[in-house]
Parts: sequence; structure tokens; C-alpha cells
Amino acid sequence: MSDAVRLENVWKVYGDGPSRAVVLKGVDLRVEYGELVVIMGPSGSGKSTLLGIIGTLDRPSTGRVYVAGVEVTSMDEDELAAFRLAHVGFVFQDHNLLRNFTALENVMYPMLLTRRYTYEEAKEKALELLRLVGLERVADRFPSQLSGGQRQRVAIARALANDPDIVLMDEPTGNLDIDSAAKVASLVKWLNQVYGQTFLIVTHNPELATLATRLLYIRGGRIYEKPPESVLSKKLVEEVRNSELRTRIRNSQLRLLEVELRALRRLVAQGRIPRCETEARLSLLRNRANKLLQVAARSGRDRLVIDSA
Amino acid sequence: MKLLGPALLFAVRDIKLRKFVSALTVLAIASGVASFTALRIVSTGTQLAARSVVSRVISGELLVYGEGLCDVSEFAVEELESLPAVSRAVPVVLAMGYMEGSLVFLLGVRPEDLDLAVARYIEGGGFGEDDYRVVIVEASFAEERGLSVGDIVIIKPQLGSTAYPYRIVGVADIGMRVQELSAVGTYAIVPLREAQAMLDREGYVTMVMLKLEDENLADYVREEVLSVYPRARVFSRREVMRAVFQVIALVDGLMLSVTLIGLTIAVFGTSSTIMSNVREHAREIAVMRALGAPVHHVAKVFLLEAAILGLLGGMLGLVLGIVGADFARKLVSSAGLFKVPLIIDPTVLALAFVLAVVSSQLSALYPVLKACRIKPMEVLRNE
Repeated sequence: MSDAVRLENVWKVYGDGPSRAVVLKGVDLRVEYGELVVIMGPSGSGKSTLLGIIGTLDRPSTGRVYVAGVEVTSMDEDELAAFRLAHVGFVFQDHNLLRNFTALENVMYPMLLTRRYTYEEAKEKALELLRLVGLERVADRFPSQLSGGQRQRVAIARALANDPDIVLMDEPTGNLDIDSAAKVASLVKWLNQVYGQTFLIVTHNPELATLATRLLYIRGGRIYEKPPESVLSKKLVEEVRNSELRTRIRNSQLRLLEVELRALRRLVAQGRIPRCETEARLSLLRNRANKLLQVAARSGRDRLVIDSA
Repeated sequence: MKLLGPALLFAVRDIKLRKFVSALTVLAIASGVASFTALRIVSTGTQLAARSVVSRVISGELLVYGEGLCDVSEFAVEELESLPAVSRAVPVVLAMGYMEGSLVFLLGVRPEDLDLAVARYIEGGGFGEDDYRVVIVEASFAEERGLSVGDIVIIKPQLGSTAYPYRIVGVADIGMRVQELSAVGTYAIVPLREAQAMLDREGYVTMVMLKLEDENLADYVREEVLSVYPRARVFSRREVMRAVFQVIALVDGLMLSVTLIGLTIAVFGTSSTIMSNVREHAREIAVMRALGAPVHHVAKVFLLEAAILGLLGGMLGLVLGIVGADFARKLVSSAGLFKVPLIIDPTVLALAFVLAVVSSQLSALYPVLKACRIKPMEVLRNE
């Protein structure tokens, strides 16, 4: 089977100097025709950038991108637009239907842009696609008159309008309730299995992973075949073990305790605080101080002396 | 509904969805076009009316004045008439006075010159050499006051204290409206002798109107008059017309400046509307581009929207302009100034319409440029 998408050592860098951000780090990826690939990753992992580059909306800083067997990295903007029209379908998180058009017109729109279809042909095909996604009854409604799930299904019909080589979906169930999300997800699975449509979905929703014929992971701008070690927990351990940070926090705690004790001593001297409350506050401060003493003792540094109020 | 179809549909729906803002934009364009149209129509009518008035007022090709108000001797009339190329010399006295309590221009002419002073008799006729205390009143005044031939009106010179009864012998449209170019007022024609008596200037007239055998000899005759009367003031009809048209052109220019300010405001208004549309549709523009719409298609959407606003504004502006011009024309006429005809020149209408469409397209250029520069990835990433 040939490749619907192939990425070779794709890097994407935004900005330069101090604001330089490397979003994709040498990504290699192949998606074959008929696959339903789900790429999972948290926010900021580079999944939308990856989708933008595959969809020819963005260009890689270095590397090569092939879509439907064509290298797209050297095309100019007009060529890319024409290429997208013929080969790529998009479904965005927020459906992004054109609000001035009805559901039917939204699906007709990409077909009319190609100039390959007459108005009647485009309408006939659009109606059939709406029937395919179960929305022929709402064909004349505007997006504002549709539910979230219906809008997303119209967006899927629109993405299929020009028989694209691949449909790219960015968090397709991100803004949907569970019922609508299930309908959209099952439609995607069905279109892949029965219709043979190739899909590439990026998401952080693990439930969508069940759809995939192949599941990939993206972390820190790199693609993984297996779930990588959790970057967040790794970072957390590093942060907790950071002795400089620990010392800084402890010193701050000490200063805060000193201020609290000073204020409490003054209030007692002035007789402005009941005895029971004094006891309660002292108890609280003693606990905090003991905690700090334990930590300090473990690290072998910093001794703390607390005045008895 | 090929590539133009979706763009047109999008633009039309957008206008419908934003009715209030679109209506305001159309009104802004319409006001600019209306003022332009009305101004051109009134200006064309005014020029025609002015030409006609000057021709009527200066029945002769040359007007000869003295140094003062009424100091041209009657003896000069015969002498002027004897100059080469002069076919007729007409002495005229012009005085201000009150008729039935209203300020009027009193025109003193000889009975044999009434053919130049009266355009058309509505009732009655002129006066003869022997008629005494007779007057021809202007038709509009007679109608307003319910006067007719045989009625007696009281006329009093502006600078005198004595009032005299005059018998109306004719009700007419006055042709020789000497002051028409600069003053509002009613005219009454009295015998030359009586006008002179009112001013206490027997033997003198205000001016002498010279009819020439050939209008092209006006400069030559002027030189002749000045050689005989070096201190006389001589005006040719052509000069008066030129002066009148210069004044009209000046007023036109000022009005046009105001109109241009209006049009500029309309351009900014349209630009603002299209710009806000572009901002509001940034996401949809990004989606269109992501789906594969070429840049020129995106430009087409907003240029079409501006063009529709321009067309609507243009059409409304033309209607309002014609109505406004008619109103202005009637206002001028009712004030007793020119009777301005309503001349609707197709060229003016076409120009106004083109102006509306072109200005709307110009105003859309910057917003369209912004729309074409929208990077789909940048917009969609912000989801």
C-alpha cells in the first residue's frame, strides 16, 4: 500500500534568539492509505503544528513532507491551496463551518471551488454526503441552527466533499458532549472501515485511541510508537529534587513564621486576643515549625528556634 | 454558482446578517452620492437659468453706466445710437420703491421700449406717451395680492416721502429683470418720465442698453463709447455672463468640496464596515483558505460585499439626489431667485453611480488586503 502521508526528518522552529521554540524535532511519519491513525499528546506537544504541516497550512523549517505521493514543501501558496482542495480534508475542533452558508452550501463549497462540478452536481453530491452522515433533513439549516454534534458531522461531510486522500482531524470531539462525541467517533470509524477513508486524528482524548488502526504518541515535538515516559511526572520529580528550590521555599517559610510569631506576641501583650485562640494559633505555628525542622534535619542544614509565646 | 456564486452568496448573506451596519454604510454612501447628484443637477439648471436670465436682462449686447447711480444724460442716448454698429439705444431708469407696502424694483422705460422690458402680457397691455400714473405689475405679485388691470396701487419711492396712486394697465412677466442676478424682488414698470420724476432726475437715466448689429462687434463699440465718454462704465453681455459663471463655478467648487468631504466620510465608513467584517470573519477566511480557496476568491468575497453596498448606496443616492435637487430648485424658485429647471443629465447620473461603486471598491482595498494576508494556521491555532 502506498503512503497517503510521509514526513521525513521534519523540524519546526518558531522565532529565534531567546524566543526560539523548537516545536517539532525531526519527526518521521508514514500514514498508509486506509489507515486511521490517532496521534495522542498533551497540549503544547506539537500535535496541531504537525497537523498544520501535513495539511500544508504550515511549512516545516527543515525536512520533507509528501502528501498523496507529492512533495509539498516546495509549492507556493496558490499551488498549496489548489493541492489542499484536491487532496486534503480538514475537520477542526470547533467545526468551523461558514456561518453564512447552510449545511448543504457548506458541503457544496469545496466542490464549487474546484470548478469540476456544476451547481446541480455539487448539490446532488452534497446531499448524498449529508445523507451519509445522517443529516439530510437539516441540509437547509444554518450552522447556528444545528447542535454541536450535527455541526461536526457537517464538517466531516464537507471534508469528504472532494474525495480527499486524507482527512485530518484536530480534536474532533473536543467541544462535544459524550453522546455527540460517540456519534462523531462512530461515524469516523465507520467511514474508515466501510468507506476506506484515510484519517489522521490528533487528540489528547484517550477514548479516541480505541478508534485507531494505529496509535502514535507525540511528546515534546517527537513521535513515539509506544507511550513515552510521562513528561509531567518526570518534570515533577526533577522539580521536587531541586535543592536550591527547596532551600528557597524553606527560607520563605521561616520568614513567614517569624512575622506570624511577632504579630501574635504583640496581640498577646496588648490583650487583644482570647487565650483559646492564642493556643490554637500557637499549635498551628508549632506544627509548621516542626515540619520545617524535620526537613532541615533530613538535609542537615538550617536550625530553627521558636520562642515560646 | 461557480466560483463567483459562493462569493456572491457569502457577501449577500453577510449584508443580510448585519442589516443595521450595512444600512448605515449604504446611507453613508447614499448621502455622498445624493449630495453629488443634487449639486450637479442644481448646478446644471442654475447655469442654464443664469444664461437665460443674462440674455433676458441684457437685452442689448452692451450696458453703458455713468459714474453715479442715475447720471447718464438723455442726450447721450441719441449720440450712442448714432455710433457705428449700434442698432438701438434704450434708456432705462432703475429705482427702488414701495408698492402696496412691499419693496419693489421700479423700472422706468419708454413706451417704445416695452417690447424689451416685458416678456409676456398676462392681462392688459403696455402704456403710451400720454398715459400718466400707470404701471405694469409683475404677474406673481398681482396674483399674490389679487390685483388686476384697472386696480389702483400706491407707489412710493424709497428715498421720498410722497406716495402716489398708480393705475394698473398691464399684468405681465417681466423680461428686463436687471437686478435678478443679485437680488430677490418684484418688478414694476412705469413710464421713463415718471421714474425720473420719482428720483428727481429729469433728463437722466441709470443706464443705456445698446443693441448691436453684430454681437462680435461688442469690443469695438465699447472702445467707441469710451472714446466719447471716457468715464463711462461699459459692460458687455459676454462679460456679465463670464462673471456670473465665475460666481457659479466658485459656489460649485465650494459645494463640491463639501460633497467630497461627504464622499470621503462614506469611503471611511465603508472601509470600517468591511474591515470589521474581515475581523469578524477572520476564522472563516482561515477556514476558506484551509479548504483550498485561492486568495483571489477571498478578495472577491469582500470586494463583492463592498460593491453591493456601493450599488445600493449609489441607487439610493441617485433617488435622494434627484429628490433633493428638485427640492432645492423649488426652494430657489419660491425665494424669487432663478427659476431653475430640473435637468437630469444621464452623464451626471452615470458619474454618480460610478463614483459610488468606485469609492466603495477603493474603501475595500485595505480590508481586502488584510483578509488576503490572513494565515490560516495562525488563526486556527488559536482555537
